[in-house]
Amino acid sequence: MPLIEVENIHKEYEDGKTTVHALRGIDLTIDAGEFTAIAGPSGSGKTTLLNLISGLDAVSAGNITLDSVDISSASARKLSQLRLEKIGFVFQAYNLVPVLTARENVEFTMLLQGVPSGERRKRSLDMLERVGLGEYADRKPTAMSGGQQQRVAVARAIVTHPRVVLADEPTANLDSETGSRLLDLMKRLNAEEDMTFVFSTHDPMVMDYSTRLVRLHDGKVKSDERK
Amino acid sequence: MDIVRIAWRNIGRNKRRSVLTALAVAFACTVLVFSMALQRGSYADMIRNTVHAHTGNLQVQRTGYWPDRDIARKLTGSAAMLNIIDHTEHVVAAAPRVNGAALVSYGHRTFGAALFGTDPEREKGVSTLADVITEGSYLDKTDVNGALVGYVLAKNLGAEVGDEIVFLGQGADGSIAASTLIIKGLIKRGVAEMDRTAVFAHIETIQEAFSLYGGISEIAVLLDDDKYRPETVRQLESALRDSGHDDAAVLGWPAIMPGIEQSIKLDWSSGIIIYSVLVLVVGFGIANTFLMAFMERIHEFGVLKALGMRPAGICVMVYVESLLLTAIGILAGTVTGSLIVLRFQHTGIDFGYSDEMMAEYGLDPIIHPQLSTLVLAWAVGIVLVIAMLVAIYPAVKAATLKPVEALRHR
Repeated sequence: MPLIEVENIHKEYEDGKTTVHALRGIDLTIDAGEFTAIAGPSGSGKTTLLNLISGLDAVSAGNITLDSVDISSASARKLSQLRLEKIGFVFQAYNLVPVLTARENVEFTMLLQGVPSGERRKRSLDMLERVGLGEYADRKPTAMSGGQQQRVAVARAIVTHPRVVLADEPTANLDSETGSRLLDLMKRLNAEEDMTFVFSTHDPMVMDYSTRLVRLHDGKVKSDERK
Repeated sequence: MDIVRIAWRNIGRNKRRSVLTALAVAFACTVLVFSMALQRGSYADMIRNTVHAHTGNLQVQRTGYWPDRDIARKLTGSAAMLNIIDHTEHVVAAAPRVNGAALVSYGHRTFGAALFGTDPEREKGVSTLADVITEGSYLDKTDVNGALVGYVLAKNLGAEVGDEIVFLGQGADGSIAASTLIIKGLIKRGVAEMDRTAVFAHIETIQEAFSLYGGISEIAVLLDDDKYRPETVRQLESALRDSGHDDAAVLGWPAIMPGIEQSIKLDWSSGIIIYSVLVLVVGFGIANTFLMAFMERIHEFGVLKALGMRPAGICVMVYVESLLLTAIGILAGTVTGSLIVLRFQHTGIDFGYSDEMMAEYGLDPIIHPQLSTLVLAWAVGIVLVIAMLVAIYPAVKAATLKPVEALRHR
């Protein structure tokens, strides 16, 4: 069943006096449980596509539906709610809140959802155990390695059981061994939780791990292959 | 972990900047608490000086005597009224007076004067007349021709202690009021008008000269505390009415000297405006640091939005951060300001260099700053309101950032 439906979307933005066509008519359907990599060279539109799917940016034309919600016409408030309830984010630069410990970072989205503190604490500690960081629960991001921070970011993204995890170049700042361990983790979660993952990447290792590879070039889908 | 705790931790991100911001707020608050306490203290001193100098906390007069002070509108039966007043709660002392206007001459010089006929013994309890004699001695109970003269008036007349002066006025019945007085002493009240015009003499002498036949102009009453004035006024009104003195009116000092109360209100209002402007200037500095903290975290606000934090949540978080910082500054400033005020509350601060100017306004050169709830409420209120206003902009700005643009920001 389609979780994400992208219909003929275009994205243009002004860069000085020139108009940049970031996306030129993308059609894409991603089913629940897929482990999809969107690959392509810099400027191909990978991150733009992820931003549009998550409602962080608005389409110039076309429609996007996520779990039956029309993102293209949703209000800012509704988009916030959508991201909070249905989307988990993993960023290239981890983007943990620096003043919070690993556990508190994982708790953060649950705090926004209004989950009671006792339950938040339990779920966040469980999740940190699951990503192998149980003993790092009280550490702040600055006292953790890049790989550890990214695993905390993954824990933060999945602790609320979102419908989809959008990961923007999640391994770009990691060495290959750490990146591989992170992908193992996400693959396991994909299998165990039937959680949908969509990556933007130009890392061949991520492409190898993915079960579906969508290649973009100049804002268009160049190829789309399921393994 | 909640929004307030996150906001609190965010304050600790850049400790130096946070400390400087809190210090700016604390400084503004300290200045406000001290200045306002000094201002309120000067009012209290002014009221106390005025009340103790002559007026008393309240006066009993004949209805309609004030404000024209027509000597013909006299009170009779003063002995019975004094008996009632003396037995009223919170009354420390009461003194009957006759107030007249006359020309006073000595040799070839003549000046206008305010004549006060008073009971020397009772007057001692009500006013500071006996304490402000700079030369000579206080009125003798038996020497009914003795007078105390303002030192400036005596200087203008060219008269000294022991000299005989003549006064000429109009009696209550339209007759000529004239008599001679021997200067027993010179007084310096510190109130320029009094020192220039006042002549105090025995009440019987003035009553006789002005054809008052035992009538008096007023009874000045001193209370143990001015805060009991309103209830004492009500009690006395009732007691005097019950005893048949229907023509007696009881007036508090604000009714007798409305100018003082009005000038206090005016001075306080203009002070509030000046303080607000000063804090606004400090507020721009605070706004700058709030804005810097916002600029540094634009990317992070983008992340929070991506995670699903609503614009209102971001707005509240940033606003709470600013308010926490302000609250720390206000607490520190209020404590510091209060300690400085308490240090000088009893000893006072001597502004002796402006002695003459202050005398013009009936002020003592030593001002006792006065800490009160009113002072603290205004000081905290002004700083808080201005800080709350300047904190709005970065909070709203953070809330209305476009997520994708914020995420791109480095």
